[in-house]
Amino acid sequence: MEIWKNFLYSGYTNQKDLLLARQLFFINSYSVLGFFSAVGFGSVHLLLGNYFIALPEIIGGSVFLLIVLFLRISKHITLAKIIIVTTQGILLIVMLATGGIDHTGIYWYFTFPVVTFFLLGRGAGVIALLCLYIVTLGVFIAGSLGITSIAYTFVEVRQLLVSLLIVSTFIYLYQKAVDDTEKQVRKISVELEEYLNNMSTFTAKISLDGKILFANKIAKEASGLGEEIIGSQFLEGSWWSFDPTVKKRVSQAFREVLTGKIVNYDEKLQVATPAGLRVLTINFSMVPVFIENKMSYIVAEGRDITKLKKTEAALSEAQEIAKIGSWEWDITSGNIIWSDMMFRIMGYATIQNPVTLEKAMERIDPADQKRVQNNIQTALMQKQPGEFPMKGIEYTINIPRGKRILFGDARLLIDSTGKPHMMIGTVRDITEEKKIDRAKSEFVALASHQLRTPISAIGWFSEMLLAGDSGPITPEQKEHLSQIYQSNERMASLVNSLLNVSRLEMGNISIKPELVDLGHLSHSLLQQIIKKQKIERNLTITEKYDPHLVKLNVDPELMKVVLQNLFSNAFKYSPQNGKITIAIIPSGQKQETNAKNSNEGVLIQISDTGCGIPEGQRDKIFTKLFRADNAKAKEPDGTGLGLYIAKEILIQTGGKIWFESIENHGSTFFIWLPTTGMIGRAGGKTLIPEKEG
Amino acid sequence: MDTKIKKILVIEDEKPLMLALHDKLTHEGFHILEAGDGEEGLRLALENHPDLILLDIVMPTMDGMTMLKKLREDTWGKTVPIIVLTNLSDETKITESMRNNVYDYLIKANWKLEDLVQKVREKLSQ
Repeated sequence: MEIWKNFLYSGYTNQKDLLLARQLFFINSYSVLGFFSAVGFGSVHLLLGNYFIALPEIIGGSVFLLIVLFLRISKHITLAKIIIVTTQGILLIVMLATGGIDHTGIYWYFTFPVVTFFLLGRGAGVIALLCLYIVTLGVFIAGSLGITSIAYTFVEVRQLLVSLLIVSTFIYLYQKAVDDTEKQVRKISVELEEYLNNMSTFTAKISLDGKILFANKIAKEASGLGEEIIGSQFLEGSWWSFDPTVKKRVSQAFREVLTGKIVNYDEKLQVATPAGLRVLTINFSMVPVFIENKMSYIVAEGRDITKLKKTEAALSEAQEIAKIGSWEWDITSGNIIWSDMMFRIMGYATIQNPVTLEKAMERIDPADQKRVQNNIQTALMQKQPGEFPMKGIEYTINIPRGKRILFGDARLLIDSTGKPHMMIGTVRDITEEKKIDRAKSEFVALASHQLRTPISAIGWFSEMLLAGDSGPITPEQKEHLSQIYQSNERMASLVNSLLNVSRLEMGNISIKPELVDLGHLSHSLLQQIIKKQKIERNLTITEKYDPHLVKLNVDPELMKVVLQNLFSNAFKYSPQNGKITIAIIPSGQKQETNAKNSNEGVLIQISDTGCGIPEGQRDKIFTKLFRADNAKAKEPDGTGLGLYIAKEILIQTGGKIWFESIENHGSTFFIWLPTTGMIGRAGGKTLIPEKEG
Repeated sequence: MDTKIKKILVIEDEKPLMLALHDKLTHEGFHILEAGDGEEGLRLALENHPDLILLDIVMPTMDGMTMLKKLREDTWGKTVPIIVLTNLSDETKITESMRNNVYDYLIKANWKLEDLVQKVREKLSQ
C-alpha cells in the first residue's frame, strides 16, 4: 500500500501542500488510467487489425507513461500540467474535427474544465476554457465553410458549448469553494504556527513512539538543529542526553505519560544559545492528547524557571544568613510548607514538604504550646477581609541540639468572604540574643550592686554628719554636706533607674494586675511628692477624679512608677506660682488593632504650666537618658530615664502615652489604659519604685 | 517597758557600711555585735541570742541566704526577728527571704539610717 501511495504521489511526502499532493495524485492516476485504457484498447484494435485507431491510442498511452516518469524524475509539475492541458486541448479539437470513435468525440469536451480548473486553478482555467471555445467555434466555422472537416452539426456543437458552459460554471464555483476553504484553513494553520512560534516556552508535539511531529520556533532554535528535529526522537536528543540521569528521568516520565497520566516536574534542559550551550532549569510537563477517546499524541512543554530557581536559592541563602525560617499554611487544604531554613531551625535534618500541623507543633515546649495555640486561635477568629498582622511571640522549642528560644511573627490572609485562607510567618532563633541579653542584664545587676555599696556608705555618713551625730557642724559645713548628700541621692536614683531600664529591655517584667482605685493611688503619690518638695514655689495642685471611674485592673507597682515619673516631672519643671492639674476620666478612645473589642478606657491627664518641650526635641523626649535643653537648665537633677521607663511600661502592659506641649507655656501628658486593664504576665522581674523615704 | 539594752547583731562584709551602722545604732542606744560573713554571723547569733539581726546577703565564706536557712533550723533561730539589709534587688532572694520569715527586705542605698532605725525600733517594740 505504501509503495502504491508513494508512486501515485510521485514520492511527495511533505504534508504541507495538500493541493500539490492532490494534483500529483490526479495526474498520476489519470495518467495510469489513461495509459492502461489507451494501450488496452489500442491492443484490442491492433488485434482486430484497426491499425488506424490502434496506433494513435498506443502512442497516446505512451505519452501518459512518459508524463508519469517525467514527474517522478524531475518534479516539474507546472510543465507537466501544461503538457497535459495542451495535449487534452489538441485532442478535443481533433475529436471535434474527426468525430472520434463512433461519433463520441465531443463527449471528451466535458473532461476539459475538470482538468483545467483543478490543475491550473480558476484563473488560468477560465482562460484555457475561453481558448477552447474560441478554437472550437473557429473550427466549426472553418468546417461550415469547408476549409476543414467537422464531424458535428451546428445544433450538436451549440448544445455542446451550452452544456459545457453550465458544467464549467459549476466546476468553477465548486473549485472556488474548495480554494476559499483551503485558504481559510491555511490561514488558520499559519496563524497557529505563528502563535506557537512566538511562545516563550518550548513546546513540541510528540508521537506515541517518541517522534517529534512539531516543535515551535524557540524549541527548534534551542535544539541547535532547527528544522531537522522534526521527525527525530524526542527522548534521544542532545537536550536530554547531555546528562544520563536527566535522560533516564525523562524516559521514565514519558513511559508514565503513555499510561495516560499528566507529568509535571522540574528538569534540566541543555539549550543552544548564541553564546554556546547552556543548561537551564525548566518546569517540564507532558500531557497526553486524546482524540475520540484514543491517545493520539503527547504535548511536551518546558518553561524556563532558571531565574526563578536562582531567586529561590538567593532567598534560601538570605534566610540562612539571617537565620530566619519562613512558612506558609494553606488553611483550606491544611498543608504547611516550610522553607529549608525552617527545617534547620526546628532541628530536622531532612527537608520534606508539606508539613502537618501536628509536626509543626510537636517540638514546641509543652509550657508554651497553649500560648502559641491561643495566638493562632485568636487570629483565626478574625472576620475582616484583608491582612491581619498577628502578635509576635517568643516561645521555646526542644530539639536534638537542646532548648532553643524562637521569635515567631505571622500574618493571616482573609478572603473577601471573611474566611481565613492563608497564614504566613517567619521564625527567628533568638537563643543567642537572649543569652546576650541575659548577660547584659546580669552585668547591669552586678554593676548596680557594686555601685550601691559606696552609695550607701556616702549616704549614711553624710546623713550622720548632717544629723550632728559626729558633733556640731557649722552652717557652711551643713550646706556642703547637703550637697554631698543630694548628689549621692541622685546617684542612688540613677542606679535604680538603670536597673529598671535593664529589666524593661529584657521585655519580661512581671505584670500582676489587681483592682486598683486609680484616684486613690494618684492622690497618695501626690501627697508624698508634695511632702518631699524642698523648694517652696507656691504651686496650685488640682485633682479631678471622675466620680464614675471604677477600679481598674493594673499592677499597682508599675502604675506607681509611671505616675511617679510623670508627677515628678510636672513638679520639677513648674515655675513659681505654677499650676498642676491631675485628671482621671473615662475615655472613648478605640484601639486600632483589634476591632473585636469596643475599646473604651481610662485617660489620665497630667498638666503643668512649666517650661514645656521645645519643638525640635519632641521626638527624643521618650528616649533613654535624653533631657531637653530647657529642662536641664531648669533642673540639673534628672536622669533622663523617667519618660522612657514610663513609656516602656505602658507599651508592655497594653497602654499608651503621648503629650501636648508649648515651650514656655506648659505640657500635658496623657496616659491611656483600656477598661480591660493591664495585660498580665507571670514570672519575670519587678521594677524598683522611687524611694518612699 | 523593757529597759534592757537591746542587742543587735549586724552581719555585713563591707567595712564602711558596718562602721556607719555600728556608729548610728550605738548612738541610738543599742548594743551592737559585728560579724563579717555568714559563718561568723551564725556562730555569734547562736552564742549570743541577739534581739534582732541585720543581715546582708552578698558575703564571702557563707552568704546571707545560706546563713538564714541554717539559722531558721535552730529552735531559737526560728523565732529571732531578721531584717535583710542588702543592695541586691533580686526577686528570687526576696521570695526566699519571705519564705524564711524575715521581717523586711531593705535596699541599703535607698534607705536613710534614720528610717532604718525607725524600722528597728518598730520591730523591737512588737
